[in-house]
Amino acid sequence: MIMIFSMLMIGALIGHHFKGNRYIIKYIHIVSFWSVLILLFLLGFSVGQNETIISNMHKIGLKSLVLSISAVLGSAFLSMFVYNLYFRKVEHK
Amino acid sequence: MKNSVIIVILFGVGVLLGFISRGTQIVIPHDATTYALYVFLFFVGISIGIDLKVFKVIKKLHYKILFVPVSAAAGSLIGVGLISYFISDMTLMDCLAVGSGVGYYSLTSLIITEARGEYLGVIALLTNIIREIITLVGTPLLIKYFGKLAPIASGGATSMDITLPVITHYTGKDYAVISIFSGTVLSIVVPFWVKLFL
Repeated sequence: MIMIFSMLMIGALIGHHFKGNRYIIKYIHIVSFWSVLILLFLLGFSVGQNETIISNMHKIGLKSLVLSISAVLGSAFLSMFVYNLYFRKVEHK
Repeated sequence: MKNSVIIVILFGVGVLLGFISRGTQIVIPHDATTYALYVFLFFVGISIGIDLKVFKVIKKLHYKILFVPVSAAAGSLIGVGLISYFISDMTLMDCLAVGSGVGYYSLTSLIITEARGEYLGVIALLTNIIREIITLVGTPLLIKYFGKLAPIASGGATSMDITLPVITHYTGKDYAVISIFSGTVLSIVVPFWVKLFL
């Protein structure tokens, strides 16, 4: 938690120093997409290696899948109301 | 769209390679993902610092930003609560406990395993991991049908770290701030409120 905030703060301070530099903004996008790819590959790798997850997949996988889909749909529905009520307006100002 | 296909393929290749390499010496250090995340956060920080308009978003939204984590948590409970009628060997409270994890699988599965045993614990683990994967893979679809807050609500407690890169990539850095806020609030609250359902 502390690391998350300190990394953001250090980045923000450096970023503030280069305020409005379009060249850097373009590169940030490329670099952040690559870190997404690396993160996902690593996550996939550890899921594949995790004995508990792989060996239980067929038994309780379906149950977990149904539960997670319904949780995601519930959250998505409620957030849609919040988005339409408050956020959409702010976005277009 | 092209980007999300690349993302899914890379995740799949990761799972496959991980599966093949089980029992071998090849192990990804426990904190490799954590460090990759720190690097990403550093760059998110830079893009926030370059354009401080982001903080005007929070100012403009005021207390309304709190509705984001609230809708994520309440929506999960409503979703799993409704579906619990169709799952024969799990009680309503079992399902609510699993759903209350909002993606925070490590902690939720530990708490539930301790209180209810391994069976429900593994379900909590899988459910919340799948939730994270759905968010990682389905963010473009969630945005299309439910709006830009949906991946943040779907990511739940992970919207501040694991799913943050994907959410930021598809919604922009204004929403990255909302995402970090929502994920942080949920990460702090989850350990306490999972216990309410046990």
